[in-house]
Amino acid sequence: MTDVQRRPSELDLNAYVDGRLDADRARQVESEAAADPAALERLQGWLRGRDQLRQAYDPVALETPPLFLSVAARTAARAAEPVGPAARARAARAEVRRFPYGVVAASFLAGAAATVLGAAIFAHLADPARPSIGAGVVRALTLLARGLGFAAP
Amino acid sequence: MLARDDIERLAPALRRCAHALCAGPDAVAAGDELVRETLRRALQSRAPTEGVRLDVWLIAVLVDAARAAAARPGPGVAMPTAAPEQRSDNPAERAQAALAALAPADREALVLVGLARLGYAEAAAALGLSSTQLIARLSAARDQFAALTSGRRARSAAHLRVVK
Repeated sequence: MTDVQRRPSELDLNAYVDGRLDADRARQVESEAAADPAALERLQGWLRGRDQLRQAYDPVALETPPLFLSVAARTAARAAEPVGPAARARAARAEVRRFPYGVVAASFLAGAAATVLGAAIFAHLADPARPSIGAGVVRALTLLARGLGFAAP
Repeated sequence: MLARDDIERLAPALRRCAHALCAGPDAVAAGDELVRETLRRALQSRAPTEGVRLDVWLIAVLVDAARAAAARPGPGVAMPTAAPEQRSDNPAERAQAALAALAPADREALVLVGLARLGYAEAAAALGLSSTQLIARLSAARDQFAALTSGRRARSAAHLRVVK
């Protein structure tokens, strides 16, 4: 030993174990520890412990958390919504905005289409001789039913 | 405020810390309950100030929730008290038993730095310690953990610490 070899401090040893030293400083701590059997033993035990701890618990972070955690989080998020008249008014406006206009429009269109089709079929059944859209619709439905195996040819 | 995306992103790492902080019997159930309580607290409190990382802030909330649960008498989040009597052949079980045997304050330091990979300043802030106190607890935890997992007495490590 040319100059006074300093012992690695606890901060040095921890920082070494946690990879928080730059390469030069890490080498320095290594050589200090190599010259100090107690420090070396301690450092080796800490490194082993660090790896054992990670091996035991890091897999937990790769698991998908149980469903109840995200359900609980959602419920908590709702419960945590702001209170007070202004916030309630805002929430009410948001509720109105969430009203499902799209769904209402779609069901209205579907209802209208069904009525037109029904009327056409009724017209055809009432007067089968007269060519109409209803005749085509009934023929299409018959073919479809036959294709699905519901009706005899 | 915490968004659902954040929760889904950060919950796995939070769970790892929670399970480790609750090391002992029923660590999984107690840890998950602790995560649930942490998320509840986080969602009800003000978002962290500018410049604070969300994961670091959540871990601080987790520590507070764990301490509150430990201080509460009766059933709730069970905090470990058991010492590892039988030694398991499974290294993960040995690590869990050793962690369970640490003093709660030492375990907190080891979990935040060793598992959550928090910086020393972040971990000290989350635990309400000075940097010097954090390093002292971390060192004690590492001595104890190494002694327990290697099967030697913790005493020899404590002796090494005095020699410093």
